[in-house]
Amino acid sequence: MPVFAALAAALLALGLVIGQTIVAQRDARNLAMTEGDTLLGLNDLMQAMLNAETGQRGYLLTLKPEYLAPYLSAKERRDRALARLREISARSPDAAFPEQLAKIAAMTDTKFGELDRSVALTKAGYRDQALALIQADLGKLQMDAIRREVALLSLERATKRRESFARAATLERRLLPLIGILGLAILALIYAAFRSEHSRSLAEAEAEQAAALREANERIELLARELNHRVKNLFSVILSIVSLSGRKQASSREVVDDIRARIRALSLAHSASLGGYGIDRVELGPVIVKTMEPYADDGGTRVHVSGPAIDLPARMVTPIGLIVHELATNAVKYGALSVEGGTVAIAWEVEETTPGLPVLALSWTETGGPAIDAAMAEKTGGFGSQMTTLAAGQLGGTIERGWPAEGAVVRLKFPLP
Amino acid sequence: MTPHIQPIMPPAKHFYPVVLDRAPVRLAASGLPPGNPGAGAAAAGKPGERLLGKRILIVEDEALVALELQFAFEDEGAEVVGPAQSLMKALETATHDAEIDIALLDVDIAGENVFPVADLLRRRGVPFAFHTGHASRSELGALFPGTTTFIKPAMAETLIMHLRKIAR
Repeated sequence: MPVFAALAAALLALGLVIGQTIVAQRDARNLAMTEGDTLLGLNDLMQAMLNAETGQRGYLLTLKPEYLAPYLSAKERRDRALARLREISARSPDAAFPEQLAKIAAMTDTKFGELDRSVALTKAGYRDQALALIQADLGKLQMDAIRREVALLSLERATKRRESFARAATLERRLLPLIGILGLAILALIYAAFRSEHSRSLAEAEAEQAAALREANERIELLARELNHRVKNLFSVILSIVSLSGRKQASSREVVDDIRARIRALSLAHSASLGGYGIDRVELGPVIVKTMEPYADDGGTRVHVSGPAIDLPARMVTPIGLIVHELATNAVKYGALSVEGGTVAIAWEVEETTPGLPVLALSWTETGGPAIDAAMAEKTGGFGSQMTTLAAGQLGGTIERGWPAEGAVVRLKFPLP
Repeated sequence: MTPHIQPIMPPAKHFYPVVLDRAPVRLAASGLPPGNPGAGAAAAGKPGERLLGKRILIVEDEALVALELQFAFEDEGAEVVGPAQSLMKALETATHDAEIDIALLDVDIAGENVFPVADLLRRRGVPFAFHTGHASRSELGALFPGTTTFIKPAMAETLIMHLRKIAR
């Protein structure tokens, strides 16, 4: 924007100076042209006056009328010269010129007056009186005065012409730098235009990239959702396969139910992570809550789940789901969930006994359940406890089981990745 | 005895035999694939005793897979060492346990490569096979020529037969 202002200012100044220069040059030219005419005119004037004087002198000396010839034609010559000079001075813008001219004209009139008188006297036979006039020097003084005035006028005209040319030259000198500035302004404008074009195309490219990135992200989200649906579907399919395969097999009813329950637990655990949170991170809370869904009654009194929001990699969902399901199944078969009023409290927190190595400590506490024989419980653990131990190992951690009188207590600990 | 297994020869750049279980198999009541029970029965061994007395090291981090393998081998009379669920545990066991007859190694355990364990076992002269979820593991062939790699999920039957074959 300031480039435009500078350009406009430069153009304006340039226009002004060009105009001034043209005018000044025209004036100078005019003066140069008329100066020649002026000098000629003045010269003519002087010549006329001198001729008149010469004629007068000759006649006075010789008394022969032929010597008056130059005197006779001088007036006319003077008039012609004055007329020409008046014409020139009329066209001049200089007010002093016509004034000076008038002065000279008056002086020549006076001189002619003196000459006429002396000639007339001589013609009438009073030559001595005419000579006395000449002796009085008035005529000579007058002529000198005229000569001086004419010289002054021509000097002044010459000075005026020189001044005019000097002015024109000055204006011309100013012209060049202005043209230079204009040229620079134009270059700056071109450069600015390039830069804005360049930055515009950069911005365009960036916008394109951003759009492409957005598109790619959208596609990823779409794929993730698609994947989630497929996984959900697979679980249902597998459940159906198990149910169908176990149909009409009374002997394998228990096994089939067992299998169905486990698959369902895993399906629930994973459904907590299919909510589109991110495809590789999962929140611990929802996984546990979802897996315990089949066991929580409507009032929410049987199962309590509490703990801070923890982010876990998705690969941990299966082992956690397996463990929680196993503990819940045992609680239903022998523990707190096998009687009314029994409750399970699941709570977790982050421990950092070694700085820089946070560990998740999850506790499962049963209360209000039937009395448990610790030795019995340990023995019947069997497969379930083998699996939960390995599942804890898969998480990189350990699991401890205890059976105090109030109810089973299980502690799962694993390092947070 | 094993007409249902179709060994697939991988493209030339793979140097190792990769075994894929392809055809669906109808299990007989015994849970064993059908075939000629007579021929090669002696070589194949008696079901339930095919890994009798062998100490098998299982390196596998996934609980369910590890348990399944453990039970499958124990059902054939083997004694399972482990399962080791991390590289560190596996190295520890492979170093300190003096009597390992065969090993089944999960190639990626808990994000780590199992090769150090394989190296160790090779130096000890313990035969082993690889177990992996990824179909393309060309380095295995170059680093451990002659070692078989099984792609998950592999049928327990196949694993048992192979381990029995290579056990010392």
